[in-house]
Amino acid sequence: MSIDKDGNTQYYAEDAKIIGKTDRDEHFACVQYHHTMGVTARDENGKVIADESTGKPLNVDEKTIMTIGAGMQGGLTKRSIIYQGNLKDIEELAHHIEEKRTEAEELNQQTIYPYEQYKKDFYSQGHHWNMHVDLNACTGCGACQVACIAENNVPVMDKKEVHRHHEMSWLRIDRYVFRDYENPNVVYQPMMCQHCDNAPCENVCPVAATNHSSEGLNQMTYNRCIGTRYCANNCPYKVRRFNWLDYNTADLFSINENYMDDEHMYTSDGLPFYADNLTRMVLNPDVTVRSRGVIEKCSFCVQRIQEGKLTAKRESRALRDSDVKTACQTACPTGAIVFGDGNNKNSEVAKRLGNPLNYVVLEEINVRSSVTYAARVVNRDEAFEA
Amino acid sequence: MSAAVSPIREPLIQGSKTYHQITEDICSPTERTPSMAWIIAFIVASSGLALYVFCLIWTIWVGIGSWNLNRTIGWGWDITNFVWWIGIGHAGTLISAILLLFRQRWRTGVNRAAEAMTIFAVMCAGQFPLIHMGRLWLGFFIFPYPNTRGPLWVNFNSPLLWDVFAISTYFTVSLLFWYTGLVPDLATVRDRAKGLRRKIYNFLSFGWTGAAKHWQRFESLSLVLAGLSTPLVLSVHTIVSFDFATSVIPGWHTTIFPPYFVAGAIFSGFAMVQTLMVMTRKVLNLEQYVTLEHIESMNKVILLTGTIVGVAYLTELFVAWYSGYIYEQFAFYNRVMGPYWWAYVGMMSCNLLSPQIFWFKKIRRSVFWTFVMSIFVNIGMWFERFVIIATTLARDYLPSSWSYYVPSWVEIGLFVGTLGLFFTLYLIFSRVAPVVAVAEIKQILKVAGDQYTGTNAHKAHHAKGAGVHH
Amino acid sequence: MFESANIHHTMANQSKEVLYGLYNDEQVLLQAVHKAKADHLEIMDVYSPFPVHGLDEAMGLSESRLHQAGFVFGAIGTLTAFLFMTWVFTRDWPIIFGGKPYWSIPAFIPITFELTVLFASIGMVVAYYTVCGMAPGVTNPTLDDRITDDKFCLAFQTNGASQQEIDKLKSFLTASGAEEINAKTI
Repeated sequence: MSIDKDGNTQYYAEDAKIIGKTDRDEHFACVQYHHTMGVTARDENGKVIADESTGKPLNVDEKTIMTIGAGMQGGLTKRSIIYQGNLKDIEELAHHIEEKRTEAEELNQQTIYPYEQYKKDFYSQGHHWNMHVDLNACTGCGACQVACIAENNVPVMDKKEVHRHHEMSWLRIDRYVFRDYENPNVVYQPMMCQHCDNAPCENVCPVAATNHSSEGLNQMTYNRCIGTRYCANNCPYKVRRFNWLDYNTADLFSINENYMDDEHMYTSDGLPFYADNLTRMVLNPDVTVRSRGVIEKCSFCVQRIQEGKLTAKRESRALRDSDVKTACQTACPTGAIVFGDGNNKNSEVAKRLGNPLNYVVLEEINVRSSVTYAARVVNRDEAFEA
Repeated sequence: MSAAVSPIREPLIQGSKTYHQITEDICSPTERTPSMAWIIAFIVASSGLALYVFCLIWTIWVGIGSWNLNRTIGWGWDITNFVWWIGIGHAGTLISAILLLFRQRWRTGVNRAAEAMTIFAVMCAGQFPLIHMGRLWLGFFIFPYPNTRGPLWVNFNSPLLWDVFAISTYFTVSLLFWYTGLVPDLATVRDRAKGLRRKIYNFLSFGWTGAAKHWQRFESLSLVLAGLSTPLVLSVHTIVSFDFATSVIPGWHTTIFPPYFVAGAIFSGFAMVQTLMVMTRKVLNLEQYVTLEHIESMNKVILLTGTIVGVAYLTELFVAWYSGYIYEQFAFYNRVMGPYWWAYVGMMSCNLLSPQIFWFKKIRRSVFWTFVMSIFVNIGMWFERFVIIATTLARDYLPSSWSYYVPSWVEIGLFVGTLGLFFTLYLIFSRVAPVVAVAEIKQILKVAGDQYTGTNAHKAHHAKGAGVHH
Repeated sequence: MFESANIHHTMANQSKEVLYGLYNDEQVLLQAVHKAKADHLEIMDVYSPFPVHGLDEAMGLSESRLHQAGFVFGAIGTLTAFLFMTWVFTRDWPIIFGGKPYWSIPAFIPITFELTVLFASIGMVVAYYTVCGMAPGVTNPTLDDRITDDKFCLAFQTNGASQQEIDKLKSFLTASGAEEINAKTI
């Protein structure tokens, strides 16, 4: 990192140049591998590889993710993560989703604590925060992710940390590739904390650092967290993030404070990176900076919710949709993300919850997620594409 | 209560011992200067301990980021080691409590060392739930103490909190049970000692006199503690298995886990007892007290529990297939065929297949094979926990978050380091306390000594009327 | 009268003159104890390197009540755990965890069980050491170092006894098979 004549750190490379081929292998750091939802392939003759007995096309990627054997057909595609279909089959898609959701609901009734009962007890009054993500509108641009990072003081990881899968983003965009590998399609799925009403993470925290608010928020108390990471393990959506190292110069031991690379451990002021005054101005004062060793995750921008509630209170009126908008929602250029009070029947999110193409990711595990996705529908002429 | 002495029963004490010889044989190792073998072993073990301390400080200073865990795999070697050690720590209490209730006389030869091993293994196990915390310095939050934050109590719904209670209870009760049994034997050492040693052992033996009323209470206490420890020992690994079984992760969320974990714990615990006793009896010349009969009995337990564990492995696969539940099916398919297939192979071959050689009596009674097998089982059980923890976490619900995990040197150092801690403690124990329960051996001498029972008995009928009780 | 162990401690501050015989075999000792009881001799205590079966009946010792104490301690543990958790989660600070009701009884079972065992065990062990007069660093006078090795000891207290009574005790010990007879003041 170089320092210009005014003493400001230059956060961009000034000396980038293209060099010739070197005989060196470099690790490629990538937030996600390219995950598939059933990709077919062709043999040398251009024929789609299919199951010999049924003639159905095989998902060849099932094999590639296994070390031994030919893989388990359906191991990826049968998961209730992504629903998508073609416009001309939209009735069929809606029916399929309804069938799956009914089946999940039946499974979810097998419990000693029926959801309807405590939903009535706990959440029938006041707000219940919900989010709706329209996969049709999502282009995978990543603006939501950037907005989230800026809003919530989420540390940005370097190559080394990303390579170790230590990225910290609270909101990520999952990519699932499907169709033929020659002409693949991708579904983008923004994935953040689902604020499950039956949150598995809450049950397992030994110190009650994460629990549920009466408004359906899955709350995280950073200064209570001791970092057992049990909640992260037990999160089916894997959206909880652990502060593996001191990423924000918020540590007890100053020696651990983060630095950009080995040569430039300290800035010109003799301060560690992130500790100099200019850099610290990037932090949002409304959001706690997390220290090493605690878990963090999407809070549904609880600081904005609080601010919106206070605004409404100050103006002595009911809360409006416009009072509370999450950072990702405001950043989304296509309006794919809608957030609001699900208990308010007139809210935008409540209206969107009526869409027959809606589904809940992993609904059959009865975690009662507060985020609903609308299935992706494409209008494609197969004959034209082939 | 006077049990009939079967001449078919093999003697458990060999060499026609008298009471005095028993005292002499078992107490004298605490009185001799340490042998070269002991000194070398101690240097090696304490170097391991030093490595542990180093890696521990490193972890606390730098952070959990010095390990290679990631956003998908939040537990790796740390909790694998925890479950492994706590499993090992099950044999001692099992031997001293359950076998006492079942009136298995062979327990007396090995119970003292096995209980000591239990305590040291639980100490090693207890390290990991602490050091895996991101903020160890706030670890006291796990205790429900009155505080100024509300007071904010702990989450009694969390299996990890149940663990805190289970493990601390288990450690406390094991320690009390062990030390209470040790007091009369420490008095024996005290009464043989002079000078400073006598003062120290006098302190440690709590003023034991051997009075009849004290023995009566001692026996009453032992029996009730055994009765309490029996469900306790079963509960501890059950609760450890709840860490996984009560989660929602496919491959963890399994009702089979409690019995499966308990059987695995007994299996690995006995293996570690074998590893230690095979060495201890040789080094301390205790072959006449820890006989082939003892070794064979323990090998039978290993064969039984190993087979139970094996049945559990196969049942798991069946249940996954039969469930028709894609996540569960994939989780097990992935265990066997996925990137961690080698851990599964290690687990299956060491835990299910290799103990089957114990169907042969010759191998059950072979010290060499016993030692080899005990190491195999220790390795296999470590793999089992790794398979359950890391493999399962690596690929759960959302393929977008799948990952792979290889430990860093710090994690390996911590594991090797706890081995150092364990053996350091065991080596110290073998020098300062009688490694075989002296009073208990004397108590069974007239029914299990080779001059009274077995093929060479010449005092068999003296044994009639000799009380057999515990 | 023959709660000898208790006498032993309650009178610890005053020295005792003791006449004792050492036996080599627990069966001989047991017969000697039976005989002493039949002769109405007042046994101070019997010491042995390991518990001798039938000795407590022979000496007429009452059954130990430690297990009853254990039950009480265990019950206290059960109630403490369950009531405390109930109070915390329903009265003091109810918190919603993962869609469970505040009073989620199944989740309280493990801790209730563990504390039952913990209270019972600690309570019993503390009670045991207290009634036995034992604690770290306590020195209770012993008659002979070999009692913790291979000798079985039958002891009579002879404070204020006449020479004739002592002689009678000595001849009893000899007749009952004692290998050694000694007198000691503790």
